[in-house]
Amino acid sequence: MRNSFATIICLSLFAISAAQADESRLVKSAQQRWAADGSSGTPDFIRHVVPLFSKLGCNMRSCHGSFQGQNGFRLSLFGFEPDLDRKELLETDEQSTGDGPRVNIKEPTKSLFLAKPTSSDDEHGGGRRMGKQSWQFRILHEWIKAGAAYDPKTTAKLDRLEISPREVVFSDRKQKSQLRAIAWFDDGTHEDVTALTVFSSNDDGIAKVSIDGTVSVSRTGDTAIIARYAGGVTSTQVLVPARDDNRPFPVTFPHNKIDEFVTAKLRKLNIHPSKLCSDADFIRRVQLDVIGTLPTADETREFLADRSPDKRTQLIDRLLERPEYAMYWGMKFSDWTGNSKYINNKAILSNWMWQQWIEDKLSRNVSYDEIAYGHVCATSLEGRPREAFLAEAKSILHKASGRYNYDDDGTYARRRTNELFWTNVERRNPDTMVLQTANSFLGLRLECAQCHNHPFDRWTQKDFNQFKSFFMAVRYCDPADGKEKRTGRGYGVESLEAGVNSRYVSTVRKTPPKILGGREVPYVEGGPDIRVALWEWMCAPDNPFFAPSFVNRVWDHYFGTGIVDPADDFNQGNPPSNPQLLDWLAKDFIKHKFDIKHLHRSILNSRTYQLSWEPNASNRLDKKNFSHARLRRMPAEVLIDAIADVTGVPNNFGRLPKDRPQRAVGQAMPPLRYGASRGGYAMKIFGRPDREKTCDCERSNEPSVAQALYLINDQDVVSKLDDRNARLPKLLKSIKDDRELVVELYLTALSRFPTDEELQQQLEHVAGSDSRADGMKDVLWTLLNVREFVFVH
Amino acid sequence: MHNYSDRVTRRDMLKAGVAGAFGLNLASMLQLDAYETAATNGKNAIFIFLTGGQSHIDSWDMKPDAGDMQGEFESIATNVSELRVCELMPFLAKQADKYAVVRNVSHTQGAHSPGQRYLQTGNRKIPSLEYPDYGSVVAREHMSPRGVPNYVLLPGGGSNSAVYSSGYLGVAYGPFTALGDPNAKSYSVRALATPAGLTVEKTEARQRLLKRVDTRFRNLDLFDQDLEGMDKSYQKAFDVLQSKAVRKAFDIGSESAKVRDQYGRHTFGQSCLLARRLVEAGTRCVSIYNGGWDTHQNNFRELKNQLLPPWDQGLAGLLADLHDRGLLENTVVWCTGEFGRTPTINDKGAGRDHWARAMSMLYAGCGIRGGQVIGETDKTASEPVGDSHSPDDAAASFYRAIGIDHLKEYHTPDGRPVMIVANGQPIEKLWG
Repeated sequence: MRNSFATIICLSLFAISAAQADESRLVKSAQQRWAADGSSGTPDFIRHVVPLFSKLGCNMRSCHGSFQGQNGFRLSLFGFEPDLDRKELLETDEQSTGDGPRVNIKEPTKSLFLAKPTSSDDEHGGGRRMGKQSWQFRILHEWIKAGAAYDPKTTAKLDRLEISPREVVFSDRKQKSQLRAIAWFDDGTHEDVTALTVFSSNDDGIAKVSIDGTVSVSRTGDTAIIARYAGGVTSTQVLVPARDDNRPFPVTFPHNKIDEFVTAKLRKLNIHPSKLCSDADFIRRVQLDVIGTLPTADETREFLADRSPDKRTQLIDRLLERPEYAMYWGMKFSDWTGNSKYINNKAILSNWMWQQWIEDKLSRNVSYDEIAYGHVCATSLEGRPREAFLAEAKSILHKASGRYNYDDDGTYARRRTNELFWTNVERRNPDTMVLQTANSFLGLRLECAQCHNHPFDRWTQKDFNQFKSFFMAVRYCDPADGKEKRTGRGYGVESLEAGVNSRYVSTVRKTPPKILGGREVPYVEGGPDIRVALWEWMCAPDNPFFAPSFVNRVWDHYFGTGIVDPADDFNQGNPPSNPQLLDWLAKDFIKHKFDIKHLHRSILNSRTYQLSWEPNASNRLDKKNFSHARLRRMPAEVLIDAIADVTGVPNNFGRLPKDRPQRAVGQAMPPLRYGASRGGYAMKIFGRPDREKTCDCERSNEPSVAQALYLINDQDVVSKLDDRNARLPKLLKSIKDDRELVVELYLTALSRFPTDEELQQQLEHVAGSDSRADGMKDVLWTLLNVREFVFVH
Repeated sequence: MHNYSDRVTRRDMLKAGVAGAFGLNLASMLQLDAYETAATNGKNAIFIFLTGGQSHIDSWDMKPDAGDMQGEFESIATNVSELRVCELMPFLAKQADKYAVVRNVSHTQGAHSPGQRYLQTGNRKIPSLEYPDYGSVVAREHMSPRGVPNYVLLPGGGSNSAVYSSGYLGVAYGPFTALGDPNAKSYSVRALATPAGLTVEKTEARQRLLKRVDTRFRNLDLFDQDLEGMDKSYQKAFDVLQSKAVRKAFDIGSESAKVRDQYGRHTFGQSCLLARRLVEAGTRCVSIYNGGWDTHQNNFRELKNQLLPPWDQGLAGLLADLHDRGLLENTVVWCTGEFGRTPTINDKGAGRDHWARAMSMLYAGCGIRGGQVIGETDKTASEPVGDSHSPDDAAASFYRAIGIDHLKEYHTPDGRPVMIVANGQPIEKLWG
């Protein structure tokens, strides 16, 4: 049965064709048309010449695509500015030759532009890029001969690029597959552009693609092949199933839709999922993941003893109602939205107001679109009379008059919007705000488009600039009268109000706000807040980024890998590993009105989330299809709290808001504000971000020597082990039996019972120690230092 | 033939390049693997960062004819005829033949945080990317002997202390941070010090026990780069803990009283001494942060009573000692703040405010010609006259000295190609 299934896939190699190209009307490929001398028409600058620059590598950043050019010749990066490219070719180049332009229309063969790429390393830094008898040469030559023309007005523009087959399954690894790229233009024509398309593989270890678009594979797995042509980017998925070893694909029962999509992909790859994880692994994993907190020994015992069949579901529901849920996910939102160091006299207060604002929303399970509104459309007044804001600010600033006093009763936290998102000094710059907002709520990294067109996406610099105009639509005002002012920074000293900032009025007039890939939104002075139109676009059911990027971030948190990975890098060159899964999650999220807890429940209850970390023969190399749980190092804050919980000695972060536990999770300020002795050092070395960069990658879970030294011998850890009021001294008194005590320590630190071998080793060590207390301290030390401890598994 | 393929970039960009055998080619793994085998070019660096912003007009760039702006100090001669320095720098005056002073550095980042990140990295701060500090780059490029951390930070403290960061290189290239005051009698280093009663033998016993019980992930084919990385980090950490060289280097009390006195018995002086000891042990970069230079008020009193004397003695002691031991040939010393200070004396209480348009810095070692002054400022030390240099140039010079190509390109975690210092040119005259 399985064999025939594989055969069908193999036969269907070319059956799944994306481009419904009408072969009779298809314009032949450039390679064929200029295969030999004798004209086959005039090559087109946009369709043929500029793409050839990319294909030959001329306009790459390391060559003439560099902003400084190369040897006096500069092309636009990846050919995004054909106007400039043509100008550069036709202008006199004094620097390198001093004898006229690179293109010689009267005597085309004398063009420097033809001589260079056909010459050797000595004469061309980039070496020989093509032969004199090649079709590439003929394209350039014919174009020059015909007058090197280019008229942007009459030239057809690329409408879309398609690649076929859209999916390739390699049941035979020796097999090769030829890709074909078809370009559709806005004049209705379409052309085979395979020879002019730049192909690349996202994972060379699984599949390679040759320069002409032939795919070959080497090992089990899947990856995307990216195709770029004339500013268009598209991709195809290559799957290499595991070899059939006569073991049947395990029959499992999906817990929900998620499992169906994941299993469907695993089936295609013949990668077998691992078994369900044990209850002990589950309680530790789910607690660390949902509330950032280790289960206590008693919680673990109780859960393991519980016989109800739906105990996992019950536990998930309980965890989502715990206050630590809001603290932990408040920390995540603070990461994503950039709750960074403030530079004003209410810096520490500001960080806490922000954190608590998010916690308020999460604990009330306010919908995600509403949380987005609270950021994107934030104002100080929120439609209230000016006096109401002034009274609010007065009351908060009064409560928080000292350096370490806070808005203890949560006046700010309960507000609808979080104006602090806009008011930090560095955020007053629209460039920063556009990058931040696109990253926080759309999972996009637009920084490429800040200076040049995005190399792997459709965003141009113009798109970026027009989108940026939305972020000029806030004014920083005197709260008493709403007049703009330049000085007086910080909450309460100023008010954030809608309307285009006076500095940018002319910019916004010249560059009207435009939705990414969408419509222009006219700005009318005194009219509605244009940011609301931006927000409405974000929350629309067909927005390709808003819901997908959020569900993907949550998924990434639970699996250590996004469906789009990195999780905040949605672009056309980085397609999802399982598009159906991502699509379903996003649609289901929208259908449930952006209910965040519903999303958590769907994922956590899935079989996929509950799989064991122990791999099997077929899935041990899989890192992106969720066939087994990946080991993930605890985030800095979670680890710091875990050490405090296991030793029973709380951290000390100094004075915190009223009733706030001394936990690292949910601490609002950047790490070093706490000082080296109060947890700042540990936060820093374990990679807690300062949240100053618009990239999820700022948080680091990479290992380092400083981390190992910290766990082995740092004063923070050692003093907790030595503390007289710690857990161990108490347990030494209350549990007289060594065996029982070791078990208790294992349950506390690793949420499981020790194996017989571990128990024996530890008991032997205790017996051979100077004292029982000493030996047990060593046992506890090992439990903080086994690799199992620092990993969520 | 050059490599024209964009694919490497692309692959890195998606972190999907777990292509290599089993996906172990994480940046930190490269470092850890290289650690066993890689050589070093034998060059070292000591970076001294005067956080808060040292007043150039009251130290290296005295202006006796600046009238009101001159301030309260007189200049004195040094052992180099063309250089006169502040009267509060008698020790450095005697060592002027060993270092070069650059007086024409200028930039526009006049607030502490952006100014510091600029001078700590050689790159202007941008929202989308955190650049790595010099020490982190050196840690990536130059290896140390087994058990010796290749980048040590002595964070000092004081007001306006700077934040350190390994930026896009990741925490694996962060510093070994030696907190505490090396001038204190009971100086011991965080994580290295054996706490009361815990001997080296005890640490080893714990390590043996750990080996026996750390079994859960052992017998499985887990191709997990973080797990492997943690493993190697532990190996290295135990190496550090058991390294005699490291313990010896930090045992500053074993240094003779005469040498300790030469550096001065204060935090800064002993930090400089510690830096020399670490370099001798094989550390490739030591960064010393020295705070408190933000003299908006009482500029002259602060400089005279708190700031200049220990700095003068410690830095002069370091240069003399490195020279005497022959270490200056292979060790670059670079001392700078994040900016200079206003020539105008403010009326808030005899202070000087932030001034980025002119600042001075000191370089010595690694072939840099001592006894020279590079560049000049106008008669009030307000801005350079003629040529000027950016912090990018200053950083490129530092990298040139330690033998790292400042145009070398790395890839950030999200795959963006970025040069160590893209916009700088080494200040050629340093070697002239």
